[in-house]
Amino acid sequence: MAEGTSKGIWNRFLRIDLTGQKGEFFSLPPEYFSLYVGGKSLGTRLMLDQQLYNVEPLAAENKIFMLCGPLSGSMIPGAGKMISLTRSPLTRLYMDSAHGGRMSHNLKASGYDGLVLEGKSPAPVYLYIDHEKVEMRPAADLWGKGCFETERLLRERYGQEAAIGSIGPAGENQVLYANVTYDFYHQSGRCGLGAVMGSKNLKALVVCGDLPVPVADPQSVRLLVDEVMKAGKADQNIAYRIRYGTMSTFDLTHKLGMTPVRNFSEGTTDRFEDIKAESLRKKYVVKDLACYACPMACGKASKFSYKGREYILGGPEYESISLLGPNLEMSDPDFFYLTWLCDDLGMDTMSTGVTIACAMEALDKGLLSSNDLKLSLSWGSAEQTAALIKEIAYRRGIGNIMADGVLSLAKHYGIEPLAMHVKGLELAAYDPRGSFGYALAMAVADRGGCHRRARPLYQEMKEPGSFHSYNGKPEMIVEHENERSFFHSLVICDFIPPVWPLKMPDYARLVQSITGMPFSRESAVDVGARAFAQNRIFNLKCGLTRADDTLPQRFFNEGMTRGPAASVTLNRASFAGMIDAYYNLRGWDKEGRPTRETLAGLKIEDVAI
Amino acid sequence: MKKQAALKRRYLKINAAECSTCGRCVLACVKTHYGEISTGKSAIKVIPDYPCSLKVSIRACTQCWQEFCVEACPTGALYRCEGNYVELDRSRCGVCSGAFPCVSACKSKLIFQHPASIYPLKCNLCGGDPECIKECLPNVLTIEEKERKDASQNSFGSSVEGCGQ
Repeated sequence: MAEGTSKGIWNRFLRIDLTGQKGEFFSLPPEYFSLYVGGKSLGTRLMLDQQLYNVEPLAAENKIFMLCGPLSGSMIPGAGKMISLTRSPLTRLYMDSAHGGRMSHNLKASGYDGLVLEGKSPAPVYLYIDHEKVEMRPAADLWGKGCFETERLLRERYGQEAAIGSIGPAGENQVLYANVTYDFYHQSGRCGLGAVMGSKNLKALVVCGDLPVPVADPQSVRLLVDEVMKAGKADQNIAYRIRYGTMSTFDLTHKLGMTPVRNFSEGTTDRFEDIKAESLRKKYVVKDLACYACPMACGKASKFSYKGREYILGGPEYESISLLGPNLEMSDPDFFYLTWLCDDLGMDTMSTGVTIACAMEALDKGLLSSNDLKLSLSWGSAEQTAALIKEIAYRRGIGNIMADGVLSLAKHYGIEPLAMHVKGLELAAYDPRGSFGYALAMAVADRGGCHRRARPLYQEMKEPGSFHSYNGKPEMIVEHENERSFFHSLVICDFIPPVWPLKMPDYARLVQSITGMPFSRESAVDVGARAFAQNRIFNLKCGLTRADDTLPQRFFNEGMTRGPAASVTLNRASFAGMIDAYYNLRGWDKEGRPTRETLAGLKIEDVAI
Repeated sequence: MKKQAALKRRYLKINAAECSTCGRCVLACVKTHYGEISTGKSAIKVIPDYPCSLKVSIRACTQCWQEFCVEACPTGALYRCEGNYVELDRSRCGVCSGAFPCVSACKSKLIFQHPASIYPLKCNLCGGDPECIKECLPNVLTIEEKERKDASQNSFGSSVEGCGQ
């Protein structure tokens, strides 16, 4: 452990200079750990320190932070996650993207709290890390291969216990929403991390490690974890989550009439019976899969046939089911195949689905013709869609424009009203007309149209009329954002607290037991608040304004024709009122800028603009 | 060294088809026997086959009738105990200076060695109340006891594989 640092944290990071083909260790000021603990909150500070708001996202000057936290490498439920941060090529703003698998555990057990990837390798390489052994190895024989084949080849060399992350052709071709696939069924999905890696000629990461991490009070940790595991074994909500994973989210959003159908035109589908969780489980799911050390195996391994060939897939998750499914009027197993294709090519299923949906709607409404796109594309056509996905991955024809995202596509053809995005990030599968909490959450989320920073549905479900009320939403969203940013700093999976007896105060106690640092629930809230203040400043420096905290005009002007949320539209004045209240709660001014007082209150006045 | 032939064997029964590959059993094993959170020194090995297939290979000592390790052990550190499984008495081990004749003798390859451990790695049911079972939510692991039908019966422990379909 480095001088002055607590247990649970090595305070040892690896800086990889891909240009010069060398690596070096570095440490951070110990006070960074009491302010930020690790992961997301720490990363937002590093993004500011390194001034990444000044770099071109796909230039060698951009950097990628891949960070663990004090809980990484432990047996604490949820600790199998890691988080990556960089400037997004898709939005040109702050991005973070978390992923599961074994990377978090292996990197921490290799003696590192994180990596910084800098520069650009002259030729394709992959990074190999095993404790002090850090090498950039030639990847010419891997370049061009899909994520699954890449992982297969690397496992032949490094075995089944290595943590492996790779980009596919989409990342290599710098599709702006290319992603990274880890350990077969995990993706660091959104905002184009894969493109940044591709721009650096970095094909893959292989990490091995087995050092135990020193812990301040292992007894306390063990007692809490044992208690939690006992409770978890008997819990029906947990069993439900394991049985259906995120497939059951489709049942929920459909019930609320807010699952995207035909490019967010409607919120219910006649295909519900085929796509509901129980149907998919019965027809396709063959086992449950977990992230490393996680007792809640929410991953679903599926087997399906498409055009006479059999496939196995980790997934599909809800977002893929929805945005490649009813949002494109696709049936099963077609959207299973489209998910598999995106995973193998290494591109975000969400952005892919929303971008294609925009084109489909434009064609359907005659705003575009097949001549414009130089291809045929109709709702529900799996073959045409699969072909188009490949065109996107290889930036061919119309694929070259669509590879830049839905906003780019829409601007190119003058069809902006059909582009479902916030800040350039394609929307997640929650129609804001079904939940005003989500309307706010996605409008103000730090990385764009994202559903993971807050989750208002559970609370909205408990109060009649809450889904379409503007009241109380700013408070709810701020609370959720702070809490989740704290979780993403540990780094733990935010699927755990809703159903396990491991809530924010418990994780705060665990930070103290692991590191020895005094750490309360209030400390935890502050960690989260700092992350949001800092990434807001980052975004402001990238040119963000209040005008960007908004939603596509469809949700203000058009109502759905069917379902529980039929006819609902957002009122612009009320929506603006929510934004005002949100800024006020965060201690930001009317333009959404953190004030000096607010930053001083969070002890981070030194990041003030 | 071996005394009389065992009549019962109690062992960890493995239903690999349900394994989510979370690895908590592996972590629990090392935590229990070595007091640290790491994976290398585990007496239960979980090897997924992805991305090639959904198979998972889970390997742990089956406390078999043949007791190759017991026979090969020069100090009697390995023996069938009253709980009907093969125990490893660490206080009597360490004599072989890394030669691990027990590991070489096991035809099923279910007793392991690791550079960071002077003792061989062998499932001993944690003395009768396995820690790995407590960590496994999919109920892959249970304790089973079998009676020997006759003195010539063998039980070849092998890689237990399963994938769910």
